[in-house]
Amino acid sequence: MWILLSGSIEIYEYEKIGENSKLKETKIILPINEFGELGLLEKAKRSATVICKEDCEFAILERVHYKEVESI
Amino acid sequence: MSTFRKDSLLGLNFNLISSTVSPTYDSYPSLSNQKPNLVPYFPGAKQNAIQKAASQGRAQPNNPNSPQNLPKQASLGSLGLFPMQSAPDSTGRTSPIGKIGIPFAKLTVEKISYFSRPNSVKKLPRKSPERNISPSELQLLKKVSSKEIAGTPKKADQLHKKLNLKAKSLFQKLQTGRASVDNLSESDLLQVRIDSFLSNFFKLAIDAVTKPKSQRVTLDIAILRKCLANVDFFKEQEPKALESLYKALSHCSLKSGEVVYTRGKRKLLRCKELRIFPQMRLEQICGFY
Repeated sequence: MWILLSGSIEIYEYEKIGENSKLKETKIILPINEFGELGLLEKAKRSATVICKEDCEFAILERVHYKEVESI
Repeated sequence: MSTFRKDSLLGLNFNLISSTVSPTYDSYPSLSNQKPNLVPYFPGAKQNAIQKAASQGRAQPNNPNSPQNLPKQASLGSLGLFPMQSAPDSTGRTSPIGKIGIPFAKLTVEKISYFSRPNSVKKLPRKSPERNISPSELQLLKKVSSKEIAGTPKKADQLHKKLNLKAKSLFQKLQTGRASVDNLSESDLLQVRIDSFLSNFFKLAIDAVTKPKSQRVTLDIAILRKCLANVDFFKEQEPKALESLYKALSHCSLKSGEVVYTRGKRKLLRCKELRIFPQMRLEQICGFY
């Protein structure tokens, strides 16, 4: 799970146009917000692509560390 | 020629002599005719009463068999030093001392020492009545004593629980929308322990993925921000919790245009792209707020 501390990011999802699919900007995330929480719990594939719109700084809670803290 | 002088003898000592010696008067005819006017001496009111009785003729100080002349026997007998009156011996005497065989001088010293040091009599400690304690009572006593001895840690535990309860209720209010992060006071946030915050934080994170999107709670990030802003407090009060936070979170900075992660892949980023610092500097993050 990512926590955006500064900067901004864009979330792109595939949009189906007929038989083809195209990346489409769906959301802009500003600080302080989180994203990628699905990957925290499951080893699921990413459902979107995230690209930095500007220089960003993140706090990251990795799955391994999350499990460690969860077990405390 | 009388060797007995009332004023030269002391109190009961005199009585002792008078009674023990009196049978010997018959053995000394020269003395038998010169029996002193012996009046038993008792200090205080008792002496006055006896002297008064003697003056009224009720007392018979010259008669050794007179009950007034035998206070010593009664008192010694009552004290258990020797019996009130022993059985007559072969000579027909009933002298208790002679019968028991206690040396006269020794008895006198004992008598004096007994009365001159009344406080020297040792009192045996009073035994408390023995009582059987039932196991339930014993357990209760142990509980009470443990509470008394370890009062401070218990209070600390209670305070800990109280804080956790407060943190829980706070998060519940936030979850249900009864409270807003912006309206929370700093003191409220300071009272929220960071470890309970973390557990709640992760619960909220789970909720975020298990609940429908409309019901997701994103306030946790705002709470994290506020907690991070109070990092100095946690440094002092909750160093372990802060350490766990250090371990749990990593720090990363990316340039504009860089991909954080790509759809359809499991990894967040390649390691060279993800610049994670093993020891995240919370102060640096807090500098943003």
